[in-house]
Amino acid sequence: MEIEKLRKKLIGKAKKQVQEKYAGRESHVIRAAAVLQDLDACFNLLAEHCIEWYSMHFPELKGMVKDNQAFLKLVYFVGERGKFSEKGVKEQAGEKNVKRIVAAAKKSMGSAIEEGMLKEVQLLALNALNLREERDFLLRFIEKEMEAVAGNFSKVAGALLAAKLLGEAGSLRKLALMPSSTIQLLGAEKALFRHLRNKQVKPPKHGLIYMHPLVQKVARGNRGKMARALAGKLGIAAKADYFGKTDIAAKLQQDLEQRFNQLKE
Amino acid sequence: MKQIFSGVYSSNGKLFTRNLVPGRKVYSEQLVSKRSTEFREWVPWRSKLAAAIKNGLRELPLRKGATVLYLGSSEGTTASHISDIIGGKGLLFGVDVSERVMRKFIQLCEARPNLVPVLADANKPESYREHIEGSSIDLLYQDISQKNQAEIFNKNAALFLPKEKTGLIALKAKSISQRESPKKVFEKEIAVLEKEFRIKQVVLLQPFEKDHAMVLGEKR
Repeated sequence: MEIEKLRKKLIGKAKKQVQEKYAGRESHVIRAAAVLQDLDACFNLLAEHCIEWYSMHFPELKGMVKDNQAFLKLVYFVGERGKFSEKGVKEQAGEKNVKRIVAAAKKSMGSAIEEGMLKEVQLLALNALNLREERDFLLRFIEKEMEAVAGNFSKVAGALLAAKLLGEAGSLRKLALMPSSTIQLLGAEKALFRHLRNKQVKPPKHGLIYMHPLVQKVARGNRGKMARALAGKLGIAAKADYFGKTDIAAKLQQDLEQRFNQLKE
Repeated sequence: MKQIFSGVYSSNGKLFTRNLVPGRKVYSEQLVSKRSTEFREWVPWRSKLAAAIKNGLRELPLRKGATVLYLGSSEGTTASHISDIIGGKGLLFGVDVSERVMRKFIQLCEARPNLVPVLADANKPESYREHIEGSSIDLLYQDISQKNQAEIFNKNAALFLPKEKTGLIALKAKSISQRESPKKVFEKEIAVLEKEFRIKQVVLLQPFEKDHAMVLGEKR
């Protein structure tokens, strides 16, 4: 049975290939980074619902507490606006606007809310807060794993951006073999090809790299230059991570700071 | 049940193949039993080959015991029906690059004794040449959404497909150009295919698939 033998062999081979693909730590971080993005979206959606709902009872609060998480904490831990005290607000939402919030709670135009209804809103707030907590755990996981997978790359890019770039590239090997100009545009493929088809459309200056604080902080006209410098260093970092074990992140970061200061003026 | 091609049946406008592994579904298709044989519905919305048959494909060079090289086997929806048609003595090599879909296809291969998985890039036929060369291929089938799909098909045909055997390729116009009209894209791609094939028929796959065409050719 020649064919049967061949079939057994090829099934075994394909299985091994699939196994190898998902064996490393890389694919887990890549997945985690994708989940993190969706968790953010979920949290924001639920928070928005919850804030809208609670605003029937206490509409003034929305303008004074801008942070969604702080708002939900107030809803869950304090609850009815009659219970707002300076101490309670401080505990959940920090020092800002405390007096104004307490005063507003006293003369709010919101309608009264029944115990049972408030409970529903609070339950929603709790679930959203839990999602937020899961997100923070996941971020810590990504930071830890990226450090182990690609320490230099992760330090220069920041863990989350590093994980996203890794996901876009597919694997650390592919990333290490990429020219820095490709890294610069990872995530901007659509814009790049639009430009290649039609030269009147300007080429993109940055892809995912845009998220990096150094690129964000630089003046608009210089962002392309900063992105190019960052991509260059990221390319070096990825190569150092894939082919060696030395820690060169500090040097790379220093060089980038220098370039940043040049471009800032 | 009326037999329209070897191993392909039609009843009330639906297509069926005889289930090689009775009792088991591959996707969400229906199983129908007629006089102690079990048939699987072949859904043209899910499988481009079924769509081509529904839209009047004139030839299907498959019979019991045939050997097929299938490029872009994906999760094995269409491959499972070809597996039904060629029966236990047939052989189908399913090539795909993606580990994600291969996971499912391997499971299918284990359940069906005529399926063989090859996790490789169809654009580089040399990489899996050694496994295929020993078998004489009767049909080369391809369903790959890549810009150079015709070129990939030609490369594989040149390497593996003997003279006068059949090639079937599902062309996807939108993978080649978003702007040009599908008709023009098909014309260009068919011109490329002419190098290796004598084109016998082109079947548009509307309404089952938008901007797709199945091309039937005979190896020169």
